[in-house]
Amino acid sequence: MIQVEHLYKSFDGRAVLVDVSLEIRDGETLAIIGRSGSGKSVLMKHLIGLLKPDRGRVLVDGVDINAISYEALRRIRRQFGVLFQGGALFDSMNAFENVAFPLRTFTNLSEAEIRRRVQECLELVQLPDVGPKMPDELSGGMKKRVALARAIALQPRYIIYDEPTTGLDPETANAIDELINDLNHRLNVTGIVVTHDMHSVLSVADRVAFLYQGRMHWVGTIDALHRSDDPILLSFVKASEYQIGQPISRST
Amino acid sequence: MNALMTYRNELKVGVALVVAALILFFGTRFLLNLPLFERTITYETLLPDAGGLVDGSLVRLKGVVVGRVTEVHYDPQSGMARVRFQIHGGVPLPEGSYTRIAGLAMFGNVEMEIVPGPAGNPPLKPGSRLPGHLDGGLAAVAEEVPAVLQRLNTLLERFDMAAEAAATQLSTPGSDLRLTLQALRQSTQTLATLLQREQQHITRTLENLAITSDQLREAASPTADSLQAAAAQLRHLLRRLEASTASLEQATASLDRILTHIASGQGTLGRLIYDETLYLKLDTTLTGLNRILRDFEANPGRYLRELRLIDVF
Amino acid sequence: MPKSLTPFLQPFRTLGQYTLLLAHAFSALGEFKTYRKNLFDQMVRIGIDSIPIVAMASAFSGAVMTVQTAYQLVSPFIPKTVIGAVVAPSMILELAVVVTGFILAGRVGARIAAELGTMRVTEQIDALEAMGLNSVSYLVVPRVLAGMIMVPVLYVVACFIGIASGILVANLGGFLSTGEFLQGARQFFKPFDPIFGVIKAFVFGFVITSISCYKGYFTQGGAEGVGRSTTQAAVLSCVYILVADLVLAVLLL
Repeated sequence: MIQVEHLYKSFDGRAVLVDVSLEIRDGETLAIIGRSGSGKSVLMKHLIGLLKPDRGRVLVDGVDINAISYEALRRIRRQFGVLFQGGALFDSMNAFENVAFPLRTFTNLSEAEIRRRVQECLELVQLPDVGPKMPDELSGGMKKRVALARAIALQPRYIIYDEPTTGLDPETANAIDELINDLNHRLNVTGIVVTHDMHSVLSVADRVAFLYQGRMHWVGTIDALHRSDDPILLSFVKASEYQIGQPISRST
Repeated sequence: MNALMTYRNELKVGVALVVAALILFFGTRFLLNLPLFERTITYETLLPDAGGLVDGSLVRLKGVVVGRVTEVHYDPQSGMARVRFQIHGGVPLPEGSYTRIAGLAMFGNVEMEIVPGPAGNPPLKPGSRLPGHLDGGLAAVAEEVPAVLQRLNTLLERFDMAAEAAATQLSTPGSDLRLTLQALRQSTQTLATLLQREQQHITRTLENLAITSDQLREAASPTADSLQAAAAQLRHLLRRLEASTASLEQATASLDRILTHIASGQGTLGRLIYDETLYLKLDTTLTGLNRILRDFEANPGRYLRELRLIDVF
Repeated sequence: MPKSLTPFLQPFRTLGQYTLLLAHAFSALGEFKTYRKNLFDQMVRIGIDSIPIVAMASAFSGAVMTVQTAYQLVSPFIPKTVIGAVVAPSMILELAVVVTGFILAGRVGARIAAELGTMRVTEQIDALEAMGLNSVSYLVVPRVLAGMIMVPVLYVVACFIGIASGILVANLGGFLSTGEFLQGARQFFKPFDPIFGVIKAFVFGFVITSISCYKGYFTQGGAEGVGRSTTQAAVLSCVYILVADLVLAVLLL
């Protein structure tokens, strides 16, 4: 369980997060939504201690991650898998080595075991044959999938997806959504999806947290979202070309 | 094979490091004039004065570079400069060898010279201590100068007397010899005056020099350098004066002899006038002497500047 | 804090950030397993791969120095050996190490800043951290260490090649013989000279890599930011090489 308590953060005097509180329950998939610049990514980075809050606490399984040593924080981070926006594959390594990297770094698995595990992960993201390719030979969607394979290599308890479908064509985006669904249910992990893509939200999330101008404006289940009459939330949802009550479909 | 591939970077780096270390080691020894592979032997010496020797200074034996100074420091126990140096292993130093300093710090070429002992002596053990000698230098010049000046002075008096006697006897006006002798006498007087004027100064300076030279050596090296230069200049001047004095002495002796002859009625004035040998001898001496005097008077600084510099201390 | 003070505080902020990064790197020295592979990688890329260009530059500077010294010292009163006595110590004390430093500032400094800058803006550094890896120990430590180890190696190579090319040109150009050159070179040679050179190279290696790592690691603002960091890394490395050169000369000579 991850608890965010009264988080404040500002950069150069500009407030980005204001009194943000949030609870992420084990096993659920929570979508953090909001417009660009609403502080979603900043909030996400606080969850794994990449940014330090000005005020407030972030508790992972009851431990305040900003009150512990760097070493202890790094141990906690190993329970997370993070899929970054552009994939953030190491461009000095090929796809196989990227996925193998956390295994080589943090486990004592033999080379054969590592190879087996990497292959397993690549098959989970439906890219069994890209191992020898370098990141710049891969398309945007493939990069994200390889990055996802890397994120799950160490069998994390939490997976954070930062804008998983942004910049992808609708078909690939759908495939990624399915993959997220699939992973979350098959591996029984807690998922945190940071996105502004409502299609994605409705297909993968159990609950939704809506950030508006740095504040946690609305938190609730998908059902509650359907029933909500909050004007700001509705305006955001509408802007995503989604009409509440209608079936989920992407405009192509 | 596989293991070699995995460690290819390590291999490259390792080779580069070893090669660099070897170049550094052998390059340093090469530039230090030490044999690349042969071993070297270290000796040590106590010098009353290191004279600007530093680590890296050359060590010569009979003018051949055989090693390097590795360490120079002051030894408070003996109050001397303790110098350690390495020389080629193949060069034996017989017992009785000693060291001395050569060269001027001013030109940056201070070196240590080893004067080997008698060839028959058994070789010194590695690490043993050679005695150091201080030779030449200022003290020696300072001791030499007053004696030369004294001699010169006596001589000038004698010459003056002889010349006067000659002039009195040679009454024929217009004769070349008479004119020459007159000129000679004039020059001599000038020289005598000058010497008298400067003698006190020179003597005092030299006294100071003798006393302070030892302390001065310890002082800043520019001072020591100009002191060295002053000594060299002074020595040069004295050599020239000595040379002139020698020929003056000869001429005076000849003149004396001739005058004696004339006085005893054995010779004639004509003979004297036509004695070209004497004439030439006198003239040459005169010219030489005059040159020194002109030089000395026109440019006393050239000889005395350094002395005055020392005088300031 | 009043806003007008900000420009004055910026240098201190930069220095503090730089120092903290280095402190972080220093405290990560123990995690050898994390950076071992990278260390040798970087040693090859900073050191071995730079040998050709450093060798070429030092060969030219040794040759030019010899020709120009010969040109300046045409006088019957100056012995020819002076050329060797000028060229060799200049090479050993200053030229080899500064030329090496400048080349590496351009070649290595810019590359490091571009590499780390790209990793920063594409979130690869965040990815490393998110995995639970110490990104400083993984990225900064191997580069700085590699610089401190390999720049002295490059310095030795530069000295060797520079003096050798000086001798070669002296012979080919008919200025003086190898023997005369070496006599001059040996005349004023002190065993501390190459040690001083190695110390300088060591410090320059640290200056170049640490400044470039700092600039790269804290890159902001996308591709443009990477470009800015790269330029600054190269320029600042050169400037601080000169500063370090002076400081070391004052401290150690």
